[in-house]
Amino acid sequence: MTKLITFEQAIEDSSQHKKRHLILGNGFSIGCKPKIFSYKRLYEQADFSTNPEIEKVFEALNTQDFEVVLRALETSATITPIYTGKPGAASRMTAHAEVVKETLVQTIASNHPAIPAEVTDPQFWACRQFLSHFLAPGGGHVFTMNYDLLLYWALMHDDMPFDENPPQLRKNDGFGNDEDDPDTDYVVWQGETSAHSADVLYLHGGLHLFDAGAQLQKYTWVRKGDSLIEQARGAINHDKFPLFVAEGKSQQKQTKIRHNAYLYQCLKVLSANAGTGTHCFFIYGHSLAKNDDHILRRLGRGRFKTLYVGIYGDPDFDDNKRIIGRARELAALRHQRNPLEVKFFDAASANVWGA
Amino acid sequence: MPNPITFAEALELTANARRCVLLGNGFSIAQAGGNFSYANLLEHSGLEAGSPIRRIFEELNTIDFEEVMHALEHAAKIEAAYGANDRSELFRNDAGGLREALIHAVRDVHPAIQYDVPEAQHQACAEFLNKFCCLFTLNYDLLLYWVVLNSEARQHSDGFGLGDEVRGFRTFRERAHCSTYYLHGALHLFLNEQLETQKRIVTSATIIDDIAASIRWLKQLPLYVAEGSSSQKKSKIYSIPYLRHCYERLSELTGSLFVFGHSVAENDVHIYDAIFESDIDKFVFCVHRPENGWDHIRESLARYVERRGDIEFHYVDASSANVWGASS
Repeated sequence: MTKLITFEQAIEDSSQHKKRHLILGNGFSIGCKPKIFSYKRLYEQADFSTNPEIEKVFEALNTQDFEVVLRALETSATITPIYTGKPGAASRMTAHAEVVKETLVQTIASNHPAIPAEVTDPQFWACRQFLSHFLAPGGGHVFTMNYDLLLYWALMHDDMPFDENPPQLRKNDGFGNDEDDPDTDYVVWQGETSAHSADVLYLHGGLHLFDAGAQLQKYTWVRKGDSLIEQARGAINHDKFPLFVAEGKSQQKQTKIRHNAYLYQCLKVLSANAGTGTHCFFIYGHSLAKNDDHILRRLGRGRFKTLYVGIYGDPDFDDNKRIIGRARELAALRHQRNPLEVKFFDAASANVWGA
Repeated sequence: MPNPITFAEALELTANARRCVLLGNGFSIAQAGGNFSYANLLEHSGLEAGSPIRRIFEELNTIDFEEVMHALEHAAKIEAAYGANDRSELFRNDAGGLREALIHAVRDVHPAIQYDVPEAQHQACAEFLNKFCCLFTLNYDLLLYWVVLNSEARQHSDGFGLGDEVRGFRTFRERAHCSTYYLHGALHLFLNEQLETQKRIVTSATIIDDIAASIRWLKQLPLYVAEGSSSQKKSKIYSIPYLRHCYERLSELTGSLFVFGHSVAENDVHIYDAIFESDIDKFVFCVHRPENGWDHIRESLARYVERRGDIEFHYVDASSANVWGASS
């Protein structure tokens, strides 16, 4: 049977490497709010039962992506009057576009805490202790596959009143003020060059990131007191769509990532670090499932020497055996010259959200 | 203006380091003595004003064929999902009509005469191109491709050399040797479903027919950045890995960069932003008819001159480059 080391031992062991990076999976979020985060597909949870025609539109467009369907409905509604001459001809499409928007907002909201206050201070503090192993000055990067806001909230929560030496976290994410309009309630992604100095990278986007065409905007909690649902509704009504990769197989996710400069750049930063022989990676809260192969394969093809994989519970459980097997498959992708050693740690011992 | 130097003098000034060139539409226009010109493909599509397809372009406020194609295809699928098969058919037919209009436009901007660039022009142009170790072009026409393919300029390659040829296409690989970058795409480049960029392989003078067949039967559209504002163009560039790759290479240049056949237009600001983010130390701008064009150029470049005091700016009388030979 596979032997687990504790998180502390893993950290100590990893100090032989120059830099330590972390990849977060949905176990990170579920560990905090098991009742709220399920991470089933949004589409599966969305309720279109009163509008079966909308489900047919998703099918006809061969997608489960809300954004694709919304944009198609809106454009079709725009061009239909040209062909019919009747002003009301597109009313069904327009109505359906509204339903899709509202359903998305509702579905997001019911799968996410509305405001940071729903997570307790001690939980945030514990989380920051955990993150400090990776984001302390001189440390590595944190990559997350989750598009929820927990990581962002934890990073913003920098008051730790009861601790004499609160950890200082690097939290640069490559966003900065809009040069043309510095007083807005959002900040703007500063492009490829800034991505190299970013510490935190949202591999699958995030609910606080909005695609406004030529700009990628981040809505900042500090500047805006709205709840998540108010923010999302406001943005969508201004034709800004939250940037997140939720649906589909690895190939579909990869296509969406390649279409977006920010997401593609995040993936490239991951590859660059995986290609550095003196670094090491931790994976926490991820099952190494195949639908994230577009990310995992980059670890397999890298050059870093040690991968530490978090395992929840008995390593002999079937699910855990599968994870352990998948981790070894990744190691097997390596060329003989750059072998990858995989070590497994007890995820519970990391006390990510407190003991 | 300060006295422009000659192209030969500029070559001497830049002899000791990497030297690249950025080509604008003046490059294509000069070849045909002013006859080869396209502001955009829509003007050459043969689509009549007031026709439904033309009105979609207007309604969506675009001149991008791809955007209109998606609109028609999506509308056809949505109407089919609603059970409105007649209307779905209407949209599907016009999607076919749009493909034909695009083929018409591609033929129209490439009149037959363009196949046979006279030998002397070939030679002259190859000589010009061989002065540079890499070529960036903003033109999506086929002229540069033809010249490189059919002349002594074959030292230049486009990054499609590593892939196997599959049904007339080759796929772009970032690691392949590449010295030609189509910053705004080109009519012989197509995207596959994985967003990889593929090049239609030329079979002699039938390249236009091959492109037409790809559009008509494979229902693929050429990869090019339609005219529009700088930020519209940048959005498109950012959404396609090949275009983004070319754009990144421009912003990472070292050595010297020559600009030929371009006028620092406001809707290409993204190009100059990338250039002046790079590590070039000499910027050589070829000015078309310096006696008339100088004021505009100076004004457009002023902000970059101010921002990058570490770059030497030189101005060349474009006619002294003799890109297409002495007579052109």
